[in-house]
Order: sequence, then structure tokens, then C-alpha cells
Amino acid sequence: MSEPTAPPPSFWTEPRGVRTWLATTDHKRIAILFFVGTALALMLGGTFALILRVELVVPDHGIVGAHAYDKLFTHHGIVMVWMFMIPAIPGVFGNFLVPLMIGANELAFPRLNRASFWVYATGACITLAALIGGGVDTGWTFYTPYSTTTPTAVAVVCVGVFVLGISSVMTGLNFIVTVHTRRAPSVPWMKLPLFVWTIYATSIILVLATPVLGLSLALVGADHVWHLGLFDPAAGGDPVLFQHLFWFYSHPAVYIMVLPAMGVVSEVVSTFAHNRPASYGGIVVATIGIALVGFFTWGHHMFVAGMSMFDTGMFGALSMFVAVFSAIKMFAWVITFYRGRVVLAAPVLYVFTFLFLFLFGGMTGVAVATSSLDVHWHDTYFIVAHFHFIMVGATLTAYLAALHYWFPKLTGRRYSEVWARRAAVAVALGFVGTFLPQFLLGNAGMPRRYYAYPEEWQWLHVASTCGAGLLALGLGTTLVYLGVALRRGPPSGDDPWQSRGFEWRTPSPPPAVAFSAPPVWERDAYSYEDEVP
Amino acid sequence: MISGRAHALRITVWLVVASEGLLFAGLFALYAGYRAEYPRGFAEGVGLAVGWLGGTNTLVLLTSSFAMAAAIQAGPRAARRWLVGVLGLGGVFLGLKGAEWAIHIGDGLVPGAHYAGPHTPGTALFVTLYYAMTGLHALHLVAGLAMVAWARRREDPAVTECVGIYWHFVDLVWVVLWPLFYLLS
Ligand code: HEM
Ligand SMILES: [Cu+2]
Repeated sequence: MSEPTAPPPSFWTEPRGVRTWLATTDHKRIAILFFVGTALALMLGGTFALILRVELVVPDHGIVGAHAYDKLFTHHGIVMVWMFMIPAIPGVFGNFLVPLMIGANELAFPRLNRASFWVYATGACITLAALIGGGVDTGWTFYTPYSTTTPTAVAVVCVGVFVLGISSVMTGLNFIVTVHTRRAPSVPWMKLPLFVWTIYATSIILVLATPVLGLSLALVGADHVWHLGLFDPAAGGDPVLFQHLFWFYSHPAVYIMVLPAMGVVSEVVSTFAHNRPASYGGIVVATIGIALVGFFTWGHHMFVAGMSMFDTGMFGALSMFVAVFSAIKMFAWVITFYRGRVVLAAPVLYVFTFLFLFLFGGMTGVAVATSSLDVHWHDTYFIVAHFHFIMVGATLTAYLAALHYWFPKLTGRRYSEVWARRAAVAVALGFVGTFLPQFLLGNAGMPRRYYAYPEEWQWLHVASTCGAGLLALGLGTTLVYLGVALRRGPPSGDDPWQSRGFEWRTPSPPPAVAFSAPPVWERDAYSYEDEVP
Repeated sequence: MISGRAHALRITVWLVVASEGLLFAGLFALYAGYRAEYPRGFAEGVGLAVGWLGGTNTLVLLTSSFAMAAAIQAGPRAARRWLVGVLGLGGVFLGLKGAEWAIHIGDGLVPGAHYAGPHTPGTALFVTLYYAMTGLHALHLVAGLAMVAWARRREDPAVTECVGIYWHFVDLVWVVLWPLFYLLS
């Protein structure tokens, strides 16, 4: 990591040497390590996705066979969910920013933080090692009894994802303790930046839900090896019980991905509207509310798996409740924009895309939470499109918004705004182009996870693949101009966006030790009053 | 800031307890689901348990929790001796547990393909859950022993207290496992 024009010493260069990077306990460096890991995961998962999309251009056998197709979508899902989306925003931006936003020099447990990265790397390697053994064909949901009887390398992947889960718990625990014990005196709870609130809420989910994932995976892995028949009807087991365990984690897990994304959006909206969030309290309540209600909605994945009318109704209604909290946030963001003076820049373009995808995806969520409608849409491309819009779309656009918004903070440099806007437009059009046709496909009855389909749907599949190409182009472009900016971007100054956020009150990039004494901040992180006419 | 550290440790241990609590909760849910489906098979499974070993082990763990509480109340020097007691009792528990597993395995009560126990529907599932749940509990006990040994070396009241909270949690899990696998026939 050499800097060509020697800028003032920063965490990048202090101390020097690869060794100091590998053994680092500095939250800023760990954030960069997580960035490298999650970016590689995004590229790998994206490559799998492109192969899937190219295969689907023709209605029957194209570039890969049916079984290879199964393995590709399985590994696509596993890599994207556990190696990219879950650790992406907390691991990179949470690690980098939470201490800077609360006036601390480090997390509560710096060595635990270092361990959480290396455990993540280990888990990722184990998970990928399964590919050498031929890969897994269960889908990311590991539904039994197929997952316990398929001859593919299920146990290896279970171990790998289990280890990734341990890393999640370590990260979450560290953030919770940090927010409780490391806040500077001038950052009481209700002055915490909204991003910190979302990381805090996410951490609660990480700590409480991940063990249940670990348990489900341990049971599937053990069952696969020792033929326990725990979820196999032939041995008296009940596959639906597995689904309950799996979704007890995996539904809250979608909020692990989307809450930090919402935190990013709150920060970007406020900075680029030069305006205080329309309702700080409302957003905090909605954040905690989503985290808590999210624990009681898992049953909506199993409406057609066999469930009493009462449970169906309860799970449906509770799921829709999440939309109420989400709507509070939507209104708050829109009002903040409306009352502010919006400066158009790449992060804002990503936030616009986020708002569209989140609104559209959320409404389809309410639609599929209506059990009578879900009977029609369950296990079709409609579901695939729903969760890509809301979970992937929201997380990816927020990740990109964060990357652009905080790029000067991380590096002290500016990127090419022109290219950034072009890429943001390509990502937006590419994403919608990929998944809008999938809503139509699903509604027409195309089941998910099939590599062949009737010819009359070909045009929709071709459209979707074109969208995916554009999306890949946008992401590839981003990699290039950010890479160039990292080396040669002009200096950005400490606070290029004139933000009032706490994190911008340290030099950019920050020195290895950001605060020589607990900072005294008289004005809060959203104090734009003097600016708004 | 010494109190800051103690504060951090205390939050940490409660988070760990909550997290592990949900881990066990998943298994308890499975147990409940299958017991509701196969009441007879489960009752028969409980009948296979070695009752006196389970009872003795319950006493052993409860006594260890008492020693743990005494260690927290006592000054740092006396705490070291109480903690030896905790370590010893934990070891006894694991020894008895191992003996019990050996007896079961000798009787052909092994989970999976080589299961040779009663063929009442549900009993094989009961046996699988028995190994899964008592095995997971034993792993936690081993982790607990490592922590107790660490607390004994540290002689730090805050550490002892937090390790104690964890130890009581592991004990509490057993107090729930005991009726499920030994009493409710
Ligand atoms: C208003 C809020 C939401 C509601 C009411 C809702 C409802 C639903 C329902 C009922 C399903 C199951 C449909 C089926 O399988 O037939 C579903 C699937 C899914 N949703 Fe949502 N959803 C909401 C928001 C979200 C959010 C915010 C995310 C992620 C950030 C998300 C991610 C997913 C995923 C990943 C799946 C399917 C996973 C799979 O089967 O592979 N949803 N949603
Ligand atoms: Cu869900």
C-alpha cells in the first residue's frame, strides 16, 4: 500500500509493512481487509450469476448442464449472502466508522476484531474448498431431506458457513459492547449518528439469530455424514422443522443486510440534503422495531409448507408490520430531501436507486406476505425478483453509496465524478433490467432454480440477461475508476462534502490514532440549521 | 478505566449467554416438536436413561454452582480454592457423562444407521437428540472449565463474576435437560 505523493502520515502507512497489516488490530485497517474480502466475494458471486444468466438465454441446454446449473446457483447464493452481503457494510464501514462516529480510537475488543476477520477468511476458504470437491447442489437454503442425502460436499459447506457465522457473532458482540462502553462524553445515546444505531441493531440480530443458523447447519452437516435422519420423513423426521430453524435465522438475516444499508442512506440523505433528518427519533424507533419484529415473521417462508390458518394469519400480519417501520424511514428520508438543498452526486444517485428498489421490493413483500397470493407466487421467479430488489438491490446500492460517500474519508482522495455518475446510472438500469422481467416471469409461472423453460418466455430471459450485462459493466467500471483514484485521485481535503457528521471531524484519511483525547463536539452530527434558509 | 472494563466484560458475558441460549433454544424447539409428534417413542426413550447417573450429575453441577457462587463472594485468595472445587466437580460431571455414553453405546443406542434400540416410532429421534443436546452441553462445560481455569489465574473479581455467570448458565441448561431426558417418561 504505497502512497506516491507522500501525504501526511495516516493509518495506511503507519506502521509500514505487510506484516503490520496482517496482524493489525486497528479498526480502520481491519475495515480495509474486510473490503478486500467482500469485494472478492462480490466478484466471484457475480461471475457465477453471469454464467447462470448466459445459460438462461436459451430455453434448453446452453453453456452448462442441469447439474452444473444447480451448483452454480447454490454457490452464487452462498457466496453472496454469507461472504458478501452479511459482512459487507458492518465489516467495512461499520468497522471504519463506528469508532470515528463515537469519538473512540478503537473497538472495545481490538483483538477479537482481528480474529473476526481471520475467522471470516477461514470460513470463506473452507466454503470455497467445497468447490474443489465438486460443489454443492442444494440451494443456499439447504432444504432437507435433499440436503442430507445428496452426494455432493454438503458437510464442507456447512462447516464453512458455520465458521463464517462465528465471525458474524464476534463482530456483532464487539459492536454492541463498543457502543455501550466507548462513546465519548459528547456522544450520548440520542446523539449517536443513525448509521451507528443501525449497526447496533444489526449486531443484536447477529448475536441472537446466528447461533440458530449454526445449529441448523451443524445438524444438516452431521446428518449428511452420519445419516441421522433427523429431518428425513423416511426415518420419522420432519423436514418442516428444519425450515422453521433455517428461517428463524434467515429471515432476521435479511435485516442484518438491510438495516446497515438504511443507516448508510440516512447519512447520505442528510449530508447531501444539507439538512437534519426529518425525524431522528422516528428513524431510531423504526430501526429497533425492524430488528425486533424481524424475529417473529419467519413463518412467511412456509405458507405452502403446511401451517395452521392461525399461524398463517399471524405471520402474514407481523410481516406486514415491518412495512410500517420501513415506511417511517421512507417518509423521513423523502421529507429530509424535500426540505433540504439537494446536491446531486454519485452517492445520491445510488440513494435514489435504493429508494426505488426498496419501495418496489417492499410492496411486493407485502403482496407475497398475503398468503392467498403467495400460493401463486411461492417458489417462482417472483420471489427471486422480490428478494433481489429489496435485499440485494438495497444492500448493493447502499454499499456503493457508502463506498463513494466515504471514499475520501478512507483514502483522502477524490474519484472521477463523471465516471461515478455514469456507473451509477448503469447499475440502476442494469439492476432493474435484470429483475423486472423476473417479476413477469414469476407471475407467468416460471419456477425458480430451473435451467430450462418453455420457449415463449425466452424474450424475458434475454432481457434479464441484458440487464445483468449492464449491471456487470457498471460494477466493472466502478472498480477501474476507484482503483485509479486510489493511486492518482486529487486530494479531497478533510470534509469534501461539507458534512457535519462526526466522522468528518478527523483528518481524511485518519491517522493511526484518530483522537489524542476524547473529542468535545458541541454541535451534533446533523447540525445544518445555520445553512438552511 | 477499570470500571469501564468490568462494564464491558459484564455486557459481553450476558450477550454470550443470550447467544448460546438461542443455540440451545433451537434444540429445545426440535425436542418439543418431535415429542409432540411421538409422545410414546419419547416416553420410551426416557425409560432407557440411566437414572442414577443423571441424578448424580445434577447434584454435582448444582454443587459446583454453589462453589462458584462462594468463589464470587469470597476474597480473591479464597476464590482460588473454591474455583478448584468448581474445576473438580466439572471434571466429575464429564467423567460420569462419558461413562453414561459408553453404557448407551454398548447397548447399541447409537444415532444414525447403526441404531439398534427399540423401534417404537420416535425413539431413534429421541436418541439422536439425546446425544446432540447432552453433547453440546458437554462442549459448553468444557469451555466453562477453560474459563474457570483462566479466572483462577487472573484473580480479578470482575473476571470471576463473569465466568460465574457463564457457569450458572451452563448449569441451568442442564437443569432443563435433566427432566427432558431422565424424568418425563
Ligand atoms: C415489507 C417487508 C417484507 C415483507 C412483508 C416480505 C415478505 C416476504 C415473503 C412472504 C416471502 C416468502 C415468499 C415465498 O417464498 O413464497 C419473502 C421472501 C424473501 N424475502 Fe421478503 N419481505 C419483506 C421485506 C424483505 C426484505 C427487507 C428483505 C431483505 C433485505 C427480504 C428478503 C427476502 C428473501 C431473501 C426472501 C426469499 C428467500 C428464499 O426463498 O430464497 N424481504 N418475503
Ligand atoms: Cu422473510
